[in-house]
Amino acid sequence: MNPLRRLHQSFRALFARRKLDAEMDEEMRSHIEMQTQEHIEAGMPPAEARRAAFRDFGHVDGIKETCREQREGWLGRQLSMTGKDVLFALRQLRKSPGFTVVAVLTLALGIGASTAVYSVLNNVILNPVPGPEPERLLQIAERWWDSRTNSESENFFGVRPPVLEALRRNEDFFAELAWYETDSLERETDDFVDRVSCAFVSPNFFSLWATPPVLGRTFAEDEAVPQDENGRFARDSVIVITHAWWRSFFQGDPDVVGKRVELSGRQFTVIGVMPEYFGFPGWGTAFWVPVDDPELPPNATTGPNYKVLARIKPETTERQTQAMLDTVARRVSEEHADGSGYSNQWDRHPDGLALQTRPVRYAIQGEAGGEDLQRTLFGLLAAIGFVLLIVCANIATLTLARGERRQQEFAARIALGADRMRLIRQVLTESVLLACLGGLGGLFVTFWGVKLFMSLVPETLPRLRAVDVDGTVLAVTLLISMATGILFGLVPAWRASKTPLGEAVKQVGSMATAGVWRSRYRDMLVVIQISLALVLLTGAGLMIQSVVRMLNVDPGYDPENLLRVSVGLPLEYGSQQDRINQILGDVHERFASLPGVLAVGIHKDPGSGSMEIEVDGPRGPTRVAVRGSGVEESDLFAAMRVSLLAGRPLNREDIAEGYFSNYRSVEGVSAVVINESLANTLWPGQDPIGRMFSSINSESKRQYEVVGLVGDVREYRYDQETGPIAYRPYHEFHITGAAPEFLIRTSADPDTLVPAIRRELIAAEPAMRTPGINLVSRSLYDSTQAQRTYMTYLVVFAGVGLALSAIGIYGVLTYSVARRTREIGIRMAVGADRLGVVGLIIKDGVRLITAGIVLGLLAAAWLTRFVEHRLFEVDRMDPLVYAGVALVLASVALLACLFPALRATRIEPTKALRYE
Amino acid sequence: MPKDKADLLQGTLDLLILKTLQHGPIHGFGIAVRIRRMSGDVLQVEQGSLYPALYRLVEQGWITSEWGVSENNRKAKYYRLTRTGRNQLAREASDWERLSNAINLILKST
Repeated sequence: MNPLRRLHQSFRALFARRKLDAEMDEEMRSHIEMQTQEHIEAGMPPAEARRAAFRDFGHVDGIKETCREQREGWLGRQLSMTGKDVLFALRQLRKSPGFTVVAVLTLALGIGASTAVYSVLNNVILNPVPGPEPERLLQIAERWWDSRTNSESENFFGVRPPVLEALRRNEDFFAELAWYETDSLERETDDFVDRVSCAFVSPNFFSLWATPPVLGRTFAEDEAVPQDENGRFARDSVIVITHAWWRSFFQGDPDVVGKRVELSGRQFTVIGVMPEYFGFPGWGTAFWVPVDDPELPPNATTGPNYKVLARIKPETTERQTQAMLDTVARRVSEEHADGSGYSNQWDRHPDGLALQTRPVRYAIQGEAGGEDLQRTLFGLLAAIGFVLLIVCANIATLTLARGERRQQEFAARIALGADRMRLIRQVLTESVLLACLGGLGGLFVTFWGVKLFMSLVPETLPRLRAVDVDGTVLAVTLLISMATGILFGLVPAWRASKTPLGEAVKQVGSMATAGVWRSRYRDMLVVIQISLALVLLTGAGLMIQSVVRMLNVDPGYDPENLLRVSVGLPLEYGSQQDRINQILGDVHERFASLPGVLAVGIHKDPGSGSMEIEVDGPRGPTRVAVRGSGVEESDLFAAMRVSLLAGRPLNREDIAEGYFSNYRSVEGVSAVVINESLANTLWPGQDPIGRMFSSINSESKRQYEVVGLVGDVREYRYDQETGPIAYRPYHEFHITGAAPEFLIRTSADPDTLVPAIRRELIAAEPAMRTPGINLVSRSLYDSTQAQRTYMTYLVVFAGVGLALSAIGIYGVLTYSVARRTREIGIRMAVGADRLGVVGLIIKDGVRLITAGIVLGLLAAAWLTRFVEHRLFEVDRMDPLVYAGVALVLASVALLACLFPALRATRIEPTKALRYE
Repeated sequence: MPKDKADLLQGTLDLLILKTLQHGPIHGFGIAVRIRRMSGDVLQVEQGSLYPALYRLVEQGWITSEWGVSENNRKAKYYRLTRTGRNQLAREASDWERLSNAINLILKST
């Protein structure tokens, strides 16, 4: 018969059972009737004939059962046996709900959490680039010389226009050559002017990523817009928008394709929306504009802003690529060797213009937060790996203990004639069933966990692909836990099946069967569990310590009831120092007159305006950041309540206008207020007031006289590094750098002031950009979010690990108490008191706990390097933390020992002796 | 488990059933009767062996069954040989012949 028909028949036998059974009944009945007929014909009375026919036929039900088995065939028999085994296993599992729940939960958590973290890690960091052969997608940049550190910069900036042009001329070398540049365009709202982050891209940008838009289309080759030398667009253009901007700005309008938006004086038509997960180059990009390659006049100077991405042809080698880039670099430097435009900057690098490549993957990994995230996720993965190991160890001890308890059952069943293979099969079914249940739970945990762990990914990180659950990892973790279950479930069953029949019968009812090797084996598992739990606890302890330290950091001022308002002014005002200062002064006046405002300070960070200063003495040049502060009524330190440690604050006479906007214009002596870090760097242990220093890179050799000393300040984050800072009146700084900030000290809830603040800003300057308004105490607290999240995860994992190890040691000791019932009974009979018995059991526990803790401390000392990057002012070897977690673990484990020990004391000596 | 013995007996019973079916469809009771008669009342097939064997042969695909009406106007299940069953019968019959010849040779050689 062909296998298909046979299969069909088997299934029919299994699933059309009732109908087939009825037919069988009918057939047997007809047989008996025929037999009866024969007897009657032979001369028997009808009643007797019938009886005889039944007697001849034999045991009807037995025959039917045999017939059914025959009917199903081999496959059907296997299937129906498996079905029975599954039902049996389910019954067994239901009989011990505690074991089942713990096993399934731990499996689900272990499988789910590790798969989720790995999925995030893999899709965001390890393999962030979608599409085939991501390793052939390269980023090309000029090697950059950092003149401040006098070394090659690790930054992978990009290329300047002539290089891009030269690469374009060699376009045939690449399979695809695209570039992007991040920028922003302005959009007028009802009150302020909004700056919208976007990326200018070559029109083929999207074809690199093999990611189609969710709505509409991406750019066509001829849609690129030319830009003039000031970056203005020559005409209206099309844009592709991000999912986030579609949601926030277009309210998720399904008919968004074809809608227009006015930005920086041009109309932009939406032609497509990218998927939610696609955010490249990150940093809050709202949309992409197709732009022509730049055509700048040769004397223009611009930085290496053009980020070039290239797909290399399959047959091209790394060496060929580099050789080609070297040729391009050489040609560009020759073409621009006449001293005009770019050429004066080629020689910044000692090797002249040189190009380098790296896989695009690194662009994401090396991005701010990328490296930290990678370490964070690996740390979590390690933590989860430990939890998984503890889970496995626990399942091992649980099934081992259970199996040994059931060894009597097995022995009894073998004595009663059960097939040994059948027995093993049943145990196997149970383990696999358990693993499947755990795996199913794990699937749920995974999907939920991916969302949870995605919260660790900083928003600034470029994202290219959807984070989908990694099937391979899910399968691997599932297999590992299934293998554990099978292995340790099988050991007792196998041993039971190997036991000679006579032995097996003798074993029925006997508890004294566990061999020494097995208890030693289980002891080892518990020791490993405890040590793993200790490592997890140490990590969690260090993180808790960090977060506590962080939240207790004195930021150097009073963050309560303090608002920070950063105000953006049109960049065109850049050179008009008087106008800017007038606007800022006006805004200050308006803010100060609002009801509920106690003080308003002004802060200006010129960003690139840090200067190098040098002082007379043994110290070399010291880098100092220069910041602008308000003077007198707009004094920054008064508003923030930064303590003035010595000297006086800045005042109006200290303002030397135009100094920073023109390095050459002012000579003489300027007053500065410095912070503690600077004082400690330059004059440790001495009074800095009245001391002088001068700047190196200013041609004027300007002198600075320290008039005041203030405390160090952490304005934005609790874990912010504090460096040496010199404060000068903000009036001297022009518009570049970070937006000026107003720090407003209020008497009551600062949130109620926000509408008034917005109103006053518009009133002071109609062209004002949308301000950033933050409650300082809130943003400080939010700055600890990453650490708090990380801490939470570690604490949860450590808690799970701790609980599981407690269960582990509890199980082992309970088992050993049960095993030693007779021994304990004898001890008590010969006069041991209850305390002695408790001591006896506890001693066993203490042995295991001590071994576990010692092992764990050693492992933790080595492994905590994985959390080190997240630690704040805590040494990863902090003895307090190590002692603390050891203590916690020891007490929980001892508590777990106590229950079996107390149970031992309740043993009645007389009963115990009769126990077996 | 005494598996080998069972196999031997089972194989023999299978052969007998296939043989009785060679002359046309017949129901279970008829098979039992026919085997008894054909063996001169020496072989008495137990129903406990007969029916499982029938179901096994159906599952193997050597025979099929269908409902019919018996000579006494009763509903009965008739079994008949399939093409593969016919081949199987030929194979098993020749096997059996070889085996019994061999045994006979041994028994007669004194």
